[in-house]
Amino acid sequence: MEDRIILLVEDNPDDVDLTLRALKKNNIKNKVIIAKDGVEALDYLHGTGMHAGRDTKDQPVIVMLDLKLPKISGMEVLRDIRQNERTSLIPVVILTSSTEQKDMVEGYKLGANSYIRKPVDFEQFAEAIKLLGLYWTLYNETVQS
Amino acid sequence: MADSKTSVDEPLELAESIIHTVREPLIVLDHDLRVVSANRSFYKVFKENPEETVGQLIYNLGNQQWDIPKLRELLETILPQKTTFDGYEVEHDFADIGRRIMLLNARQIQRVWGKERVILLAIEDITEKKDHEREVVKARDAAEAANKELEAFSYSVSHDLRTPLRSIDGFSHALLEDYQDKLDDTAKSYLDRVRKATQHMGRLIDDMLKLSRVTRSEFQPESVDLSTLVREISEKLQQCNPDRMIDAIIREGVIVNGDPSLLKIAIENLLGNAWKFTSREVQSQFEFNTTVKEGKTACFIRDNGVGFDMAYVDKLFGAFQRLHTTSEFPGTGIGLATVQRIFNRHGGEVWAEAEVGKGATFYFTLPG
Repeated sequence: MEDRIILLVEDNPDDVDLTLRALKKNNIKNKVIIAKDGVEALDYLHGTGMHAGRDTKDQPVIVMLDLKLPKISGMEVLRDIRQNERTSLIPVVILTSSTEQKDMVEGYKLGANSYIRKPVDFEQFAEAIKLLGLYWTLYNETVQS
Repeated sequence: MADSKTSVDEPLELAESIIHTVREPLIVLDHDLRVVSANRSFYKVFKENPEETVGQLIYNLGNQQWDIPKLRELLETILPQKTTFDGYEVEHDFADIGRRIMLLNARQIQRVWGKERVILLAIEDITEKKDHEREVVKARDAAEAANKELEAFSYSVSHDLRTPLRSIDGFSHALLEDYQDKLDDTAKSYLDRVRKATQHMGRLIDDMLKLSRVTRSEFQPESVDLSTLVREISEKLQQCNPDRMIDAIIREGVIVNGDPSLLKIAIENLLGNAWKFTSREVQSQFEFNTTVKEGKTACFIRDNGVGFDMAYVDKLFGAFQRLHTTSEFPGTGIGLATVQRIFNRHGGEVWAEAEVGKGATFYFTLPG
């Protein structure tokens, strides 16, 4: 453990690259696991499917979760994370394009720790990723199993 | 008619006159379901005449037009068991008068008119009422469907249209950063333009969404202290623009009835404009106050900014309409369209007066 992993759940490869770029630019060198849809995200967290056999004691210190995902949506991923003992205490930040009130309400109701709307302006986007990265990987204390 | 015991004992004339006084069609049948009597309203509504009605089997009226399966069920099955039945709905296509929806009240009475038993049948023509109800339901369903579609559309706009913009801006930024030694100044300035346009489009999408949200959000009016709202928004604007100084004159104690979150959006837009269009003044100022216009109290926000030519006042509140170029003053042209929708939703009004170089005044009224 002590890798202080970031799980980035994002289906858009451009957003993946831009997020990685923003992390790198800000010297956040944590290991980043990328899940391209909700299924991959849950597989990683539970050590199933493509991540079968993974030591699930090692859980990410932060899940950066997009909402609009193929197969299993971000909201469903969040619900699963919160309902499962193994993952229920992992911090989840919703990172999305939408500012629909109902998404925010639902996200917080399901137990999201934060809700960030990805700005169009890359400098603002990079700043948001920097603050998120520093806060959740460096300052925030997570419960380790 | 409720107290049938008394009416049974009354003379025939009284019974007859009651039948003829009632405004809705009423028909009396004997135990063989032949017509004993019918009132004027029945003849009028169903276009029958007394000669061809009295003595006839009800089903045979108007060339068997009244041979209606549901009516048979009521008279032959339900009534013998229950003796009274109210609110029995029958829809039927009459050859003479077209489709009719009728609401029937039926009552069986023993020993009257010298008969063993008679059946009173009151027939209310509810065709129009029913059609109206159906129209209302249809319109409501259509409105709900349209609203759902608008919501889905807005959601898609907010999510799907912004995503590619982030890629365009992000990778333009990456080019500028990673290839700065390979790009000449022209190439760099083109990329800057790409980024500026992308960000502008991002703002357009955001403002468009705000505009649509103003229309579809719930309307919950309550007492709102506009003076406090104006002061709070003004202070926020000051914090966001620490390098600017603006004199604010705010009339205290202006309380209105309205939806607080919608009014907040309206005031934010109006004050935001006041700040924006006074940005070139040495001494910028705005005033929030009330006045009387055509006998009604109107609030107004006045600034001493660049103003505008009243010749274009009609364009002012149109979506995507601007009276200044983006390089003069930034903006998307959606703010005042949003403001107007908000006051319209309140049943109020908003209008403007201005002069080039002498500032602008935005008036608004709220009912109640």
